[in-house]
Amino acid sequence: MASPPQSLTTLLARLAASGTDFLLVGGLAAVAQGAPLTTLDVDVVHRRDIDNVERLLAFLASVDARYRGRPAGQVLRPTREALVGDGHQLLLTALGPLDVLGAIEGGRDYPSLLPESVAVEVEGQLVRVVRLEALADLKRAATTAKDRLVLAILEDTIRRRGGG
Amino acid sequence: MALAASADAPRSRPSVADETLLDALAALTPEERLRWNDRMATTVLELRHGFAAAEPDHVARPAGGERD
Repeated sequence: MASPPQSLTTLLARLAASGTDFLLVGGLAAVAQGAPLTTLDVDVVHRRDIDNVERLLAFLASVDARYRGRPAGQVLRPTREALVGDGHQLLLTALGPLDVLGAIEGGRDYPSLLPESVAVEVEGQLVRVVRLEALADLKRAATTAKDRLVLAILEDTIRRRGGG
Repeated sequence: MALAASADAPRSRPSVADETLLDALAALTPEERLRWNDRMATTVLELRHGFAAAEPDHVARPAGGERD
């Protein structure tokens, strides 16, 4: 069976259309700002107040979200209790993989990252994306070889954009 | 602070990123860049699927075997 075409753009736009407050982080945030990376999932940090979590839960149900990596036939759905915490929910949806993150490196959560985000338009929806410079700062604290390579690409993208 | 940290990166360092691709992506809108990623991701998954399907032809030779 062939792999289905990836629809991460549509997944992102539909999440925005649901009215959920979230910030795009990770590889797709870098791609949106011109970094030549390829990523296979959507990473978001969501606002964790109960009203927003309810909107997020309704959206996740609409795209048949379940945890990745479960044995065949054992479907586990994200819960309200999980989404109000700062943990990472690694999900698969009908439109592709979606990582819903309560907080990321250094305990950075939605309120602390919001000032470091910019708005971009995707399929008519406004999506807030954490800026390249902030993404690079997050990667500087990471230690894996992959993170160091991504950091170098982010720095190249920032430098090129600045004309340096 | 973040900008200062970026400026601290050695300017003489050769680019890791493909500069042609950097310029091409810079000319696109954010949504167009996301759709580019969708196409690339689909290709990656197709390649993974293809290699997995062809696994008997791609198994590693045992250590100590002859090299090409």
